Amino acid sequence: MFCEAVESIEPISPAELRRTCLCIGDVRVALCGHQHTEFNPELQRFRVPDHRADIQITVRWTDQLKASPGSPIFDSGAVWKLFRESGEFIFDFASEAVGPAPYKRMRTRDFTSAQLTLNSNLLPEDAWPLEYPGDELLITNYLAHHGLGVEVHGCGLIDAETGGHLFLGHSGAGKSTTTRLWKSSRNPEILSDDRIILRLDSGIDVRQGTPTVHVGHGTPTVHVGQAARLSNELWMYGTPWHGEAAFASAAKAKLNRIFILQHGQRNQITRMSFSRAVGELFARCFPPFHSAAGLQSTVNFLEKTVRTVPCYEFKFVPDSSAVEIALNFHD
Amino acid sequence: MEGFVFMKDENHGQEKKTYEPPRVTIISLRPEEAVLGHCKSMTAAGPVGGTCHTTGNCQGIGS
Repeated sequence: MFCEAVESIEPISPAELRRTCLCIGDVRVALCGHQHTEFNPELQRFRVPDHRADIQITVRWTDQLKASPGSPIFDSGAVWKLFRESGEFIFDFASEAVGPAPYKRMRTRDFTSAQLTLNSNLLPEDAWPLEYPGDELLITNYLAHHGLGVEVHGCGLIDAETGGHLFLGHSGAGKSTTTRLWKSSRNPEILSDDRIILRLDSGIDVRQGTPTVHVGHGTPTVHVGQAARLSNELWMYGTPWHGEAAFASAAKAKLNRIFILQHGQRNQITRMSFSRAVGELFARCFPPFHSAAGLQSTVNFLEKTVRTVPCYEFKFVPDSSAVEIALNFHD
Repeated sequence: MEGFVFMKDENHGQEKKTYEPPRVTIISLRPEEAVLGHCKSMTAAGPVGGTCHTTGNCQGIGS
């Protein structure tokens, strides 16, 4: 049994049933069984009123949380390992700094609901249950598991005149520099300087292939009698997971192209081939490496993304000319 | 000319494209960035260091 001593888990009192609700990347997350009052400013922007949740999380505390037996199906090499038991995914979070026992465990079958068990011997009472990387793991796996989107490593911003711009890049590629350059010259709304969620907007529930009411963007629309399909709109969403420039916004914007950043001797924009663009996007996203189906779903999504908008390699110099080049570039 | 079928010019008079053999392009992955849970700051994720206790702080240095 991976689940430890059920009888030791403290029951949830009625007062604790109040839910904390977040909406990140148009994924609605509800957290119950835990009252959290101190939110950092970035996360606070993603809080929403109680609502129907895409992901329902129940939080429990226990003083008996032991390491899962057996071999993990995936070892992150960082603080978490993934196990499988009876069709469930079990994420054990542990750190050598606090001992071999997990400080947290997350169980989920399909990422639409999850049980978080927190180790009261290792975590303070005011610990945020969805502390990194649990939050991103849950949402990225949910997106991949249901073929809805992908989280990418990049900075996204909304310029008041020209709309959404997305600049992808590995660490050191210039995301924070780009953010600062745009901020100083155009003062755009920065969605995040490090993590952006991409989704293709269809207005149709592509998981079910059935008509649904779509309320994602603007006026709710009822689609009846249409087959499931993806339209040609790519949207980016801000996340609370920022970089060194600490920008985070819950806003979203439609994208017409994607730039992949690289430092250069001069400003130069080059269109990428279809296959290379899919590969470069994959190298800058956060796919579920533990799951063949999840990886396939991620590649499929990126393929649709590249069919929807062109991707460009953007070699840039770190001054305001890079902003002008991007603004004035038309393929 | 009954009984003859003329081939259609599917290229519409355009020059045929030069054949380009498939090329292999290697795109490097960075596991320490692609797998969630690695910190870019000098502290680790989880209940270890002061900067990792709140969402987002773990990605606080470098991008």
